[in-house]
Amino acid sequence: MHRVINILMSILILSLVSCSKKKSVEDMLKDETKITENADINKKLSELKTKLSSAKDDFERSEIHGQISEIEFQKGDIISSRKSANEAVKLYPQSAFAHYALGKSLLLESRLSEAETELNTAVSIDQKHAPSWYELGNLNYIRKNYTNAVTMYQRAVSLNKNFYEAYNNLGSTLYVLKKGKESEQAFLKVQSIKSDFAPLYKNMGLLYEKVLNDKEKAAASYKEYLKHRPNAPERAAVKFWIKALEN
Amino acid sequence: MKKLLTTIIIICMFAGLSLLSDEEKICFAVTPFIPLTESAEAENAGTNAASILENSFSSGKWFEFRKSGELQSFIDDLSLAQAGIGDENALLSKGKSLQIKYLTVGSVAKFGNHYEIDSRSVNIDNWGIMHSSGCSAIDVESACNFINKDVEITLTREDLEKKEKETANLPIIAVSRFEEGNLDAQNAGYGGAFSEVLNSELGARSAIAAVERTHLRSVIDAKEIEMCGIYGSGTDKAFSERGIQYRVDGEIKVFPSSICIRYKVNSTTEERTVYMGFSEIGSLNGIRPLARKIAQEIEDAINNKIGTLQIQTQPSSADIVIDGQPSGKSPLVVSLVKGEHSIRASFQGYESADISIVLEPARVTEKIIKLEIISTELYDQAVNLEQRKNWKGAVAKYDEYIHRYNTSGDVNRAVYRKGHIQLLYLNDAQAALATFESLVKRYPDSETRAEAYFGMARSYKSLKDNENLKSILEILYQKYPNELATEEAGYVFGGRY
Repeated sequence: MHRVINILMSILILSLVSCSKKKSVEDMLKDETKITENADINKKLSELKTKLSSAKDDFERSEIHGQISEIEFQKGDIISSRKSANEAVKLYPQSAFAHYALGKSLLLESRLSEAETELNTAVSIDQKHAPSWYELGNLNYIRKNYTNAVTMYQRAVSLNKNFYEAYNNLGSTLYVLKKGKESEQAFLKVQSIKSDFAPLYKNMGLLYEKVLNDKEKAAASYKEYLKHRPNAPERAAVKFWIKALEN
Repeated sequence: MKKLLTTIIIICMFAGLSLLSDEEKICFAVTPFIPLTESAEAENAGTNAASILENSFSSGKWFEFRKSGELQSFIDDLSLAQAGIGDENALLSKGKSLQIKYLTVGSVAKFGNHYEIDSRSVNIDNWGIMHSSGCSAIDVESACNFINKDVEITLTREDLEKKEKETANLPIIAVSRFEEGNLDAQNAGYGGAFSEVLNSELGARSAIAAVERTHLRSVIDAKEIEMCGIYGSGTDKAFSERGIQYRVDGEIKVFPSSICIRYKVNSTTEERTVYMGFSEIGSLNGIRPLARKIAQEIEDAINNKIGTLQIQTQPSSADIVIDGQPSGKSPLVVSLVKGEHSIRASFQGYESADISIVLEPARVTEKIIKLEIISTELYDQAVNLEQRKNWKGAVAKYDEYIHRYNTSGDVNRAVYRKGHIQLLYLNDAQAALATFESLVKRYPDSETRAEAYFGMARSYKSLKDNENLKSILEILYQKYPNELATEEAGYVFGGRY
């Protein structure tokens, strides 16, 4: 009798709690997909795809494919982004942006050699294309060619003074190279451009703790990181780091 | 006699029953759940969840729960190891001395007015997930009640033993981390929760062995610098050293009415991506079903879509390029998605071999590639013609050589010589430019690449194309500052040399 009551109670609780077993996974995901159709980012994508049919020449079609690729990249749909960028390159091979878009997608797919070719082509077409130099920096960083990465990031920031992502990666690469003061300069530059950029404070914390041996500044930077990113996935660990530095 | 027999049988039955009931009980312990969001921490939701579960998991016939108070020092060490501070090995030996077989670990995230709670029972020896349960609920208690009932129904001694046996021979996988790829994602804090939910869902699959990420937190959250646009670089090795064959990571981005999730599976030994996917949901309600779909997809990919390719070459140590990506030197073992793949094997002095293979999933496909020595006869003839100033003849012979061995990197020197003759002796700057360009494009890592750029610069000079001349010189100075060709360019064109 006790067992029957127990089972009945279990069924009741399982049905009361909103959990994934209640509705089939497929049905729930279908509902979710419907919601995404109304997302602005997807509406923009649809508009661009419609525009393709009325584009007057290959140049314009290439431009639109490039824009589509960029939005897909923003979403994180790297394979689609690469395919769109590939179309853009095919239609207008002289477009630095198209080669850049293709290169950065390939880079995220870990297809480094192909990414390098595309990014080099982008900068050979437009040597002032800062984002391509930045991605070349990332490529060199992944390959652990840190000195080359620094050169590429420096090139990117010399072309775009507000390129905080490039400054962040420059500072981070200099940190890896144990060039503490130079790294700090790059990070301070990020702070002057975008003071609410949370990862900066974690990076500064690491720099002060591990390279510049300044425990006080390190703890302050980690605290600043948690202030800007209270829901950081590693929040529990960061609190331990702060505690260890303050003890 | 009959009476005696019956008595013996009854005695035997009692003895058997008593043996069964004396079977050693398996010892579990619950550790405090990790609060993944600030609001969950403020409510002390992690400790509350663990405490509710600890009290509701009544010790049964085959298991017993050890109270967390009895293992406080172990829990403290576990927290330090999770923060990357403590010693994991010391933690393991301490766990053994406490005679705990399984730990129930988990996490709590609070988003708005609902909670995502995940609980997993893991083997303390290898941190394999033996049972997992997760739930979205409007309060911690309801979620814990659900988990408790789920454990009661689905966690049996038989299931546990079966899972232990089965997982021993399965591919080992672990979730690394899901980066929050834009500001909205960072503010929402979905990355940590999604990693946990996916961890639970992978733990529930039967054809892969998932390792608990709590154990790996010291690896995942190591004090790594945060780069923009570069994720998970360099962490494969750490996973491989822990016996984990596949690492899952990804990125989560949040837009109005859209949560986008990119995920990939890396082979940790080869440090390469073997599977990649993308999904999109409209709201947080979709996170758990999506994680289940992705877990199924990853399990399917590892078991039915990924195969192993073993390449040997004669001679060995040849450079292997698979699908256009340099993959190392032969002999080589790589995991690849099933289907057709192109392979190029190159070795200096040998003709490059281009082959294509069809890879079967979940099998090892072996390929032996025999490389042919390049005959220098044609090249020597071309050089001879060049020495006799028979420029057109030399170009034709270099062409023949290039055409014959066009896949070999060794050909770059012939291409360079051809361009050189076209520019300097045949006064055909346009043709020379095309030749040098082809060298740069087709043999990007060749020894003559800097010379080719210099050749391009000289061609542009002859063509009076100053804009392109400037760009090419920039590339030459920037990328090959120490090459002789760059130095020579400095003398010819001025600049920094």
